[in-house]
Amino acid sequence: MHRMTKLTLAAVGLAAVPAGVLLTAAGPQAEPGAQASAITTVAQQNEARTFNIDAVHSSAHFSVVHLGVTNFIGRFNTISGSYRLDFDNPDNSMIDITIDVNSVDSNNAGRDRHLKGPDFFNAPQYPNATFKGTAYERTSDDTLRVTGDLTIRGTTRSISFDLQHTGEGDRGGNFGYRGGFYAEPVIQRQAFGVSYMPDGLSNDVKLMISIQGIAR
Amino acid sequence: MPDVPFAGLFAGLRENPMVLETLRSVVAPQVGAIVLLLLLWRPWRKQAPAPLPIVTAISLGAAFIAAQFIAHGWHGWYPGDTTRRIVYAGVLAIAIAAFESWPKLPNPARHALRLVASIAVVWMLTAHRRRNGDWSGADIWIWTALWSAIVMLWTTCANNIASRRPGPAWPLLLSILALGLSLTAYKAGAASFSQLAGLLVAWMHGVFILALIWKKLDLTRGAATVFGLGAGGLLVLTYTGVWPHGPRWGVGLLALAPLLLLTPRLPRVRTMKPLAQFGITAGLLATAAAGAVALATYVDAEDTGDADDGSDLYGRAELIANPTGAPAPPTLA
Repeated sequence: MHRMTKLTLAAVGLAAVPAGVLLTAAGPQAEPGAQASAITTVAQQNEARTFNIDAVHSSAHFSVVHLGVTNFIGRFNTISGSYRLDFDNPDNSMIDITIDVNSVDSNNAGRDRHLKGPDFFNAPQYPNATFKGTAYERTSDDTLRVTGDLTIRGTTRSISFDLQHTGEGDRGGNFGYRGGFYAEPVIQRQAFGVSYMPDGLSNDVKLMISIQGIAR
Repeated sequence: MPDVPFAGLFAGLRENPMVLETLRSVVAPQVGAIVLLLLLWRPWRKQAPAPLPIVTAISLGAAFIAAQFIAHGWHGWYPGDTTRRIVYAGVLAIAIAAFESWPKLPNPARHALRLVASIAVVWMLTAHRRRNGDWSGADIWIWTALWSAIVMLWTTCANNIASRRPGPAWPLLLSILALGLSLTAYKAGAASFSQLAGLLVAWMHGVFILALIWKKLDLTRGAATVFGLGAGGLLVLTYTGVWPHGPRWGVGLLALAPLLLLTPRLPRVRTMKPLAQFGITAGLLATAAAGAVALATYVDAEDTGDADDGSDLYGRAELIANPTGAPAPPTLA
């Protein structure tokens, strides 16, 4: 009996090791916010990483008021570039994004062609829209105030917007170390020479930029 | 408030962005141009002579420039975006018309000036093709020569009909060409070029009304050069300035269409009465203009990317999806 008790305790002890591992792993899942903040904190404590934009998991949408009655939303399908967000030393941050305007997608081929033409993006002459960050200011643990040069249709204007750091961490396997951010800059299209139909389309255009990056 | 006659017909139009765009970028410059023409010409004087060529050139050229600025604003003296440089076709045309106002200018010099202006317009408007490497080496000279010849053809034919046909006929004939260009540019996905061509149509119709009053006067000679360089430049942009390129067959047909303005010089037609000559020429021009629009719509769509969903600039996809326009059935929710 004494021997049985020892064997039982040993079995329980052996089982407790993997169970403990599992419980440890499962623990943070009970509190998702705690996990995210833990990852962010780790990322912020480490040296800021530079990420290449993962075009497959990033998106750039635009929203413009059409006829004064509704928000029309379209998107660009090809995004490239790189970024680095350094919350401890914001001046060390860097954002460099290029959007291929030929990839504009409004769910209507005729309208896409119109958007690529001289009335809007003039893609034959200006195939890319670019953004290059020039100044960064930390506004909270996971937000930056970003200022930079946006170039559309060959015209460059300085814009500022708030950027939300949406996550960062090692996802293992094929994914590797990843990070992401989201921003909603609002721009005035006519300032970039995209001036067609001022009565039908709002001057203000909201961009919705959701970027996922793969650490270099 | 008394009821405005026909108010119901126009209800909603004041809110229509296409109508507002047309009023602002086409009708306003056209009205301004006609007023400017009248102020410079002062036809109410006793035995008023026909306006000098420079006066009509300033009227149309100023409207052409103003329409571009109203629609797109100021983008610098020499914008890198070549589609914004079309205003310089108007400026250049006014300068050429100033030279042409000199009665002693010999004809060869007149043609040489127009040729130089045609080359300058094409060179200016196609800079992006050279910059992007679309044209390189011999391509640059071949394409520049070809487009310059087309602009020269438009300018020469417009001047020819203007000098030979004073009165209300020629502005109508040129307006048919400009209308074909406007609709083809629209089909090419370039509404801003379409608007500028629409201004040429509107100006010609304004002069048509004046020409009905002063039938025997030549109201047009200088404006023909502005028309040729402006419309020719727009034709160049309608092909080279849209994505991925303009309607090949539609633009090709329009490029040669001004030759039809020479129809009254054909031996069989020359002996006909003026009204018959006008009717034949107008009919041929209208056929060519309609043909260009049809080609741009149905043939060129195959190689310009419009054919994949059958949609027009706006709206046809919805019509195809719901051809009867019947209301959707109520949902269970």
